[in-house]
Amino acid sequence: MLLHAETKEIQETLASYCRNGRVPSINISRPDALKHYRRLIRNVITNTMEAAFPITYQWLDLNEWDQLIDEFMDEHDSQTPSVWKLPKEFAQYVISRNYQQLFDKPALNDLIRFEWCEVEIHTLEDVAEPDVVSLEFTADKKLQLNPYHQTLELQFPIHRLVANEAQLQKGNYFVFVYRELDTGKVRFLDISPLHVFLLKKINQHNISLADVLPDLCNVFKLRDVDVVNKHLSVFCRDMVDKKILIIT
Amino acid sequence: MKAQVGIGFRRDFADEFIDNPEFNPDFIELAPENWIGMGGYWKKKLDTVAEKYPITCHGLSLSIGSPDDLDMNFLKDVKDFLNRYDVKIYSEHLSFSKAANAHLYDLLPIPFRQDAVDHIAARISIVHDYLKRPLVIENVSYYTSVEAQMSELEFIQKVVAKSGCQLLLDVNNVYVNAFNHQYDAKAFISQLPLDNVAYIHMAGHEKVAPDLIIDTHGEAIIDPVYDLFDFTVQLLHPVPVLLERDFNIPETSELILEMERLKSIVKNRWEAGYAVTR
Repeated sequence: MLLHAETKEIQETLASYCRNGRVPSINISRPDALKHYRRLIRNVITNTMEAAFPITYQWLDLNEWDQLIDEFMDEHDSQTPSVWKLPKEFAQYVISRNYQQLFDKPALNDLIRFEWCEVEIHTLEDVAEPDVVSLEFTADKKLQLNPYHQTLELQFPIHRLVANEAQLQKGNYFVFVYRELDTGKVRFLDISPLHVFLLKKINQHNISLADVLPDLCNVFKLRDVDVVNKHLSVFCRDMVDKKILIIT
Repeated sequence: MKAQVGIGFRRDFADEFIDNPEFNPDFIELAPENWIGMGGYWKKKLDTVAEKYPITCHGLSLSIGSPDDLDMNFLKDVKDFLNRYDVKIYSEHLSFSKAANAHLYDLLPIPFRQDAVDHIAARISIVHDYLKRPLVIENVSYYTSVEAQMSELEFIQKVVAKSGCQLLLDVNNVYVNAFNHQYDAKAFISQLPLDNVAYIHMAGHEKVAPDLIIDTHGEAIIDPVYDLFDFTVQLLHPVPVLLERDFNIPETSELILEMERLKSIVKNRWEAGYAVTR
């Protein structure tokens, strides 16, 4: 390497100061100006996170938010060259360090996953989209799932209620998050475990409702196949209308 | 040569580029990092403006001066992006934004030292060969030098001489640095390797203390920077000029006026029987 070890260390010392604020012992021409580097970097990080997690930002008190930002900057080695993707690393950091327990905010992990999911689905790279050949659903038609989607399993209904209220209703919640093919807008749907099973099977095998039904009834121990078929047909028809399920 | 004046493409006013018939930059500039890997709504916007305007790219995260290894995966993404949008000019900053395996998302000053010159020149060559297009290097604003063993001017001169790279001359950065570090901006520019200048940036800045300016790209260009620009273009052959505005976005009419003023200056100097007066 052409760069000398000493120069490398100087650069790493400066970078370290920007992350943790501990003033370095290096020779600089304008000590008064050094703080602006840390300030500018912190502005980039906090502005990026406030944009990606606006509800979390509003919910946490300012000290908690500042603590998250400061500790993330100090402890996390940011890997993505694209700052707009950094919220994913931030979400992983917050969840892995169990800040929800530290702040006594049990819904924090759910909320931060939910908010990142919205950004992620909105910006998912474009792929070849299936042609919509028909909007007339019948149980025997092969189905394909809109490629831009994710199913979130949550402990708290933070997609329906403000976080403090959601925290009082611990349970199992499934939210289907998808991007509209026509507009690019992100939408959310409350779904049941039955729906999760159905959508997962369709996503894996591009099969019809009729193909999934026997397995589904078996797994969920449902005896009246006709009733299940009627219920899921209504669901599938609505999903076809929304172009979440695509008839191929 | 017709004077080309462009502007940075920003999401805050993306629709103006598409819908406003009064808003007609000659080209647009964007940071590939802000668009690589993005699909959906914003990808469609990008594709729409790419059909309307030529694109130049100005990177943020290559970190040419970094002590860390070059990120070849990232470089591959950049190359694909440049090819996809037929980008003729790809520029980066003479700074570092990554160290100790962590991105910092801002432009830190490289120690002005000979080993840093050698290190950067070698990396410019690698990038140049990999991308199969020149890497244009921008003089950056800096608020303090760090363990310097030569001047900023000497550092830039040596990097350009050793690497043979083209220079993106950011006139506002020269103004900011001249103010902050108390040197003569015109003398500085006159001593740059001006034959290597391929591109010019112009921007506004913010004075945060009586003796300190921060390069924010969040204000209108001030008259002394226009004057320095006028001085500079007399020393150069025609190159594209870009107006940078990243924050505190004003009414589009104000941006149009700024671009018109830049265009008027370069037209006077470059289209009316231009002569390099060095």
